Amino acid sequence: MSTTETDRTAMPATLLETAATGGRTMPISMTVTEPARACTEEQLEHAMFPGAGLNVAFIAGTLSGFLAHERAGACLYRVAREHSDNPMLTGKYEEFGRETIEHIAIYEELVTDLGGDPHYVSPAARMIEQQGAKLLEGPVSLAGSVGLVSLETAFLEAVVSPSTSATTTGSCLPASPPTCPTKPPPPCVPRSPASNPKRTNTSAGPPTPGSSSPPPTPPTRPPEDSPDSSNGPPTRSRMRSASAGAAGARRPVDAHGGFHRHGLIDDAAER
Amino acid sequence: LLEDFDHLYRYANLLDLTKRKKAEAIIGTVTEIMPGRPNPDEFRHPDDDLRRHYDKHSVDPRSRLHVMTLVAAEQQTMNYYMNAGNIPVDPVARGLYLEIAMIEEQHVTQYESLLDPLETWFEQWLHHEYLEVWLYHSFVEQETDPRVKAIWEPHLSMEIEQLKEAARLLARYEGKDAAALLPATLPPAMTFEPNKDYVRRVLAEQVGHRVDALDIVDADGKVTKQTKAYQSVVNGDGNYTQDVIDMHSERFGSDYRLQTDGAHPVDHRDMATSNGGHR
Repeated sequence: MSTTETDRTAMPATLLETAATGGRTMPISMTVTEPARACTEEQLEHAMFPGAGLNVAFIAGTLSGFLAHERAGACLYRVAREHSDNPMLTGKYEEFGRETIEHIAIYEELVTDLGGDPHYVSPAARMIEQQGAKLLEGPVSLAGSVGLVSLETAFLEAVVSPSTSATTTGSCLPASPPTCPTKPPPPCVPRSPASNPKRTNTSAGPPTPGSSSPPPTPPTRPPEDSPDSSNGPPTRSRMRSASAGAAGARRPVDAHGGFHRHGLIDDAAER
Repeated sequence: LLEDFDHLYRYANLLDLTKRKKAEAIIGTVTEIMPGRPNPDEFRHPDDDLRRHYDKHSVDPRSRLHVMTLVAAEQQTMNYYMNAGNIPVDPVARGLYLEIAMIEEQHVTQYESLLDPLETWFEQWLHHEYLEVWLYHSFVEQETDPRVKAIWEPHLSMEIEQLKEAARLLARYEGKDAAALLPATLPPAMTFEPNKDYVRRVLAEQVGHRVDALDIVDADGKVTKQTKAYQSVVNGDGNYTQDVIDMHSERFGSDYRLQTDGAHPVDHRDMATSNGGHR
């Protein structure tokens, strides 16, 4: 294990977001929170990529969703490990569980480096958390009604299904890279799991609960030995300027949920 | 608060009417007895009965405890009225229990909807046990009667053990650490405080508040279109909660009140009656 990996393992990761950890959310529809703990679109836009014209609420919400996915995965691996008698499976569950906790720490660092709040739990993240909880609830609820093999299979499927979903999602995304901002990668990205050959993610899709896949790699990520990854520690201003430049050079992904809030084509950018 | 405060007034009149017993003989003078939001005005269309829920990731632990306490209290009250309401022979008493039980059902629904539906079964269980610990702890802290305190103490210990068990199963079946979900220390104990000034202030400021879909608004007594239609049905044939006041007034010349701190804070309308229909 490399030094870098050791450091990652030691990273603090928030497995359960609460008021005590600084949890915040976006009041929307039926969900409310105290004003001090509310996160508005304006606040997000001010914190991340200010002035870049990006759909920051979507980006922050999606990153928060990735975090929720990883947190749900960490719980899933723990429970699957708890209910398994198969040494091969328990070993894998433990391994994936450890990696998932690393992923949480990496995402938290990524969000922080982008100027965001890793304790922000977006509406999308709440939905992903619910899906993850229900994925786990099935085998747990029926654990007393089936044999060990069926239970082992159910937990295995609970782990595999999201991975399949991640692959499916990833297969849909290759069409997106040409429209994504071509900014230099955030300085923290080279330290993502993808930088570890053992954990390279070949799918670009967002993870889903239970997946052991590492976070998606930005399609424009340069080699790890590129100047960007060796120019010292990241600075927020560098990342913001890079993002702003990228926004003017690329099309948004989609109108509602994509990277740009103003539509499929950013007319100003196109001109 | 104003609706349950009104229920106290209606039941106090029933007690005096049927048993010739003053409610102050039971509750002393710690709380006043006078009209709140009139019961007929409390009926709401189901569309107006839900509230927005808190977010489990950012809610203050005390807020969750308060919501759960109120849900439990309202549900116990609803269950009591629904179970005991058929015991009295007097039709007015039976009707009074029934009508107020329906309002308590609204209260249960309202408060229950404040809970975040994202909280899982085992998380809910953990929070229930934590609530019981907090309540018993509060009672132990404040109880002045040694005999009663000696009852609270072992029950507090039992609840702590049940909390540990809920935590163990939360870890086993949901993979979550209870210590990460609960506050590091128990929030300040729930205390019993003087309520007269507080109730009077809320009465003066909020008796005209009504519900508009998901929100409680300053509506000067005006209800939504659907609730107005709903009330026209449920109040259309009169109200037992109004009958009991009318009967007390007819027999004794006035309704029964215990106003130790002066006149009713809302004197611009007859608080004993309502916008609802009369039998």
